[in-house]
Amino acid sequence: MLNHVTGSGWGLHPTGRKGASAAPSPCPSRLKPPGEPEQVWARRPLLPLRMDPYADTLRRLREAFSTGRTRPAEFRAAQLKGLRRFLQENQQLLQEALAQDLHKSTFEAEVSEIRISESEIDLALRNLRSWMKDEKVPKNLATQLDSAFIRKEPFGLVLIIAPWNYPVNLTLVPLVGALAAGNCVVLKPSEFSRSTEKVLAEVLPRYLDQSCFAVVLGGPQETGQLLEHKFDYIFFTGSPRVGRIVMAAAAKHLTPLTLELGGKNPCYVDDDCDPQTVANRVAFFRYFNSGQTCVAPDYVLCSPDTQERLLPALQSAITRFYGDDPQSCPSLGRIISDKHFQRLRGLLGCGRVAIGGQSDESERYIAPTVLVDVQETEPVMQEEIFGPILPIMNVRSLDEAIDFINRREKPLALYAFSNSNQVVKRVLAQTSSGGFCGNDGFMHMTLASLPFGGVGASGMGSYHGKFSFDTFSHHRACLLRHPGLEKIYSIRYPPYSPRNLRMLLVAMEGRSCSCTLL
Amino acid sequence: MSKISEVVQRARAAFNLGKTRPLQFRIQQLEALRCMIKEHEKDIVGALTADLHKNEWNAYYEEMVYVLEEIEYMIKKLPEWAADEPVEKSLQTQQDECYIHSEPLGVVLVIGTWNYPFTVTIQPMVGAIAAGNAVVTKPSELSENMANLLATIVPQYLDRDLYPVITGGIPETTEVLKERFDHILYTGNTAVGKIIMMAAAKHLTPVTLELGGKNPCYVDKDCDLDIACRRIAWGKFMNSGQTCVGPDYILCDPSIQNQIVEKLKKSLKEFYGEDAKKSRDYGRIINSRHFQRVMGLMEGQKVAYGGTGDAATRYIAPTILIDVDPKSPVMQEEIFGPVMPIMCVRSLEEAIQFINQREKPLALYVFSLNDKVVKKVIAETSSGGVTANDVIVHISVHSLPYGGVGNSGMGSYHGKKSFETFSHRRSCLVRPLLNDESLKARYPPSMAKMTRH
Repeated sequence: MLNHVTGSGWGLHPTGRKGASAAPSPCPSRLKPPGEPEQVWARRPLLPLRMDPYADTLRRLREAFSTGRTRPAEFRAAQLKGLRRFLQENQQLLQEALAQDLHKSTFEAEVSEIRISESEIDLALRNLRSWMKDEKVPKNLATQLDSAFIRKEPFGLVLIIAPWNYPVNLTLVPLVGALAAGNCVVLKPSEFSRSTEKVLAEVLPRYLDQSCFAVVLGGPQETGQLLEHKFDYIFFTGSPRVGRIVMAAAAKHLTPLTLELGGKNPCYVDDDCDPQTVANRVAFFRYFNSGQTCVAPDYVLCSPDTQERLLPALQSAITRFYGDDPQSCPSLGRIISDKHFQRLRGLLGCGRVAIGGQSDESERYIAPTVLVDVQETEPVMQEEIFGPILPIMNVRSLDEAIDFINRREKPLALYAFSNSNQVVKRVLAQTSSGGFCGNDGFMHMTLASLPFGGVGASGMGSYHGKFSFDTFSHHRACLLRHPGLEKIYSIRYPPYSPRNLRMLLVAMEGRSCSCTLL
Repeated sequence: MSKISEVVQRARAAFNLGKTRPLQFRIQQLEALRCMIKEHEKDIVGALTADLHKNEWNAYYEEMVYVLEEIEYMIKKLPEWAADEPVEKSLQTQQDECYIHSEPLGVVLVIGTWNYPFTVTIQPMVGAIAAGNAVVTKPSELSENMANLLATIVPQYLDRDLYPVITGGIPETTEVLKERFDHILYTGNTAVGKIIMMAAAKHLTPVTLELGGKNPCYVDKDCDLDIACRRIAWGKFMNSGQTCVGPDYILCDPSIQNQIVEKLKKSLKEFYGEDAKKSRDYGRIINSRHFQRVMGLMEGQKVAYGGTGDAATRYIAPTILIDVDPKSPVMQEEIFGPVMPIMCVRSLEEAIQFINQREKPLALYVFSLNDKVVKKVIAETSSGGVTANDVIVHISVHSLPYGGVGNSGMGSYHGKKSFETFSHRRSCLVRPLLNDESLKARYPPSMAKMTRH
């Protein structure tokens, strides 16, 4: 199966591709970085059917789905257990791959990739049968004798397109939901996190039933080709720019989708706070994975006074976390690609460097950096940073901060730090974002009981925990009506009499019972 | 800036003022909507009669009652649904507030259609208003009288900036789709559904598409055919067959085909008399184009009942076709007219296979006294919704989501689902800004952090 896809001679493996580094950034840029090719995902003419490398795989998976293979809970549980074994038996392999791709520390790999995936698998295994059950719903008076419920059904063939920044987590966690919901799955891991992609393509399928699961590889062109096909659900994590392209492709087949996109996540820091505590938290979440996190605080909004108190606190946090020479610290990641490195290095020229600012092209290393005196019009405030750079923007009041936030696209996450619960709640009430955390970084996404997703330009739909299962299921409304008792329903039949109408109107007036006297 | 653009910008500006946030405001708008319906009952009936030959009963029972109940339900439940929803916490978040906070999306676009022009336009509006959005409504131009009526009366009762009604046809719809919305709910056909989704993709606007399909109706040998046929006849020929969730065609064993025909005929005569054209209760086709289209579907078919039409009044007789070939045009598109083809299948498996070879429909019906048969049909097919041993009525249950799957649509609404569809459910975690002692363990350098949980 894998050989069929990669061995087709189409040069699908990323190392074989020309221009592999000229790929779209996973997070948006309203100002295109210089040199980025126009419309890398431009629609290509449809290849003739015999040259379509995906048709056979997709047909095979669809056929498997139609046999009903994936329906029984036992099958789905077996897939989830296979996934869990994959993680358990390949920890080291995955850690090495993540270290190669992103210089991810063992700690980060463990906490933000492997453990999170494992706990989602465990949650799904524990709850699978209860999630699969028909959900009974309250009935109105007219349907008291009937059986009314929502049946959760798999959609069929699901496509998951994953990004490179948390290539294990953001591939496997959606996969857990898709498998638990009983779908057949095509996985398209990111070609930028090459080492992890290799493990997912070569090792993962051995743990799953390959009649219902396939990994496909490739870059923008291949993904565009893949998207010409019909899927029953598409789950995409990446940039808003590419999200639009995916949705347009999905529209051709009326395919429902979830888009987990990005944005500039504001971080409001109130005057009423302990600067060191705030600095510890902001720095931790900003520089985690070298800033390449969709929910990381992107920029700080605070008064000039608070900025003065924050700067030494941030420096202190950075030194404590990463030492005097962060470049030699094993806890700090690296930038995924040369293109992104160049982009970020360009951003270092914005405003004034208050902390950090160093970079090393040979390692794609960028020091944990804080910028001040930044203008709103500068590039660092125009695109999602997705790197270890934290600009601080000054505002004179909470109102100004809220206005600033609301002038911009709704972000994936929003943060507010204050000793005053009132201030935190005000920021929450007067803004919108995918998710919100008061007085910490992206802790909200570690709770599987909270839906994780964006709004507006930061995305649509959500997942994690039961939300994953529900996302990948069609919720089918079912009413099993009593086959007799025709007299009760006969009011609805023609010929309609004024008497029946009067009865209906009286019932409507009374408003005490359901009037759909069917 | 075009007039439509101005209208949408005004709605957005009004939304940004925060007017719709307080629940009291939303409830007051819903109550005003209810007033509007009560005070203009006769006008609503009049518009439905002019557009579709509906009578008072149809207007109340098949349209107004749905909306009034939705308003009632929404008003009653709004405080509960709009409240923050606490969620289960983990060990690390025991001291925190963890909840889901429902927020309006912003400006919602509702595009209605012509067959139940009051309900499919206003019922989504009810949910969007309840969720705190501004709502731009675009009723279908094909049900012209209703469109004009809504454009006149809605602004008399609801906030004019927040809830504008836009009238017009394809050019106006195209124009309005260029604007950016925070959600679009469209009811209509598959082809236009794709266009709407494409337009929405440019702005990353989520959509709910209520489309259509050929809703199969499987009639088992083991059932009370009198009751089954009466119910089927009611649901099929209501509104002259122009119902998204109406049974489109029947699947049955050849041995009961004749009985089904006889019993359908019997029910039709009870409902509409010998000549349905004379019945006050029988509808008309919306326009000439659809009239021609539906008449065309009957060509070359074996007509067991009806089969005639009158172009001048756009009347098509209740028609039953038998021994229908699956490849014929009447089995290729959603009929949306008073023509009921009967297809013979030799087994339940064949019926299920037949259904599964086709696009997933909006609704699916199965008539059988045998519980196992009902369960098997449901388990081995897919559709937006299902009713067993009746037709249509699953959409009247407020606690069931109303929507399609595959070609019949995406997303759903009605009742609480409306509120959810038109809201953003925002995950919130709020912790106290206490000192970091308890959290120090998570910070780098990370040597001693490999604790197993």
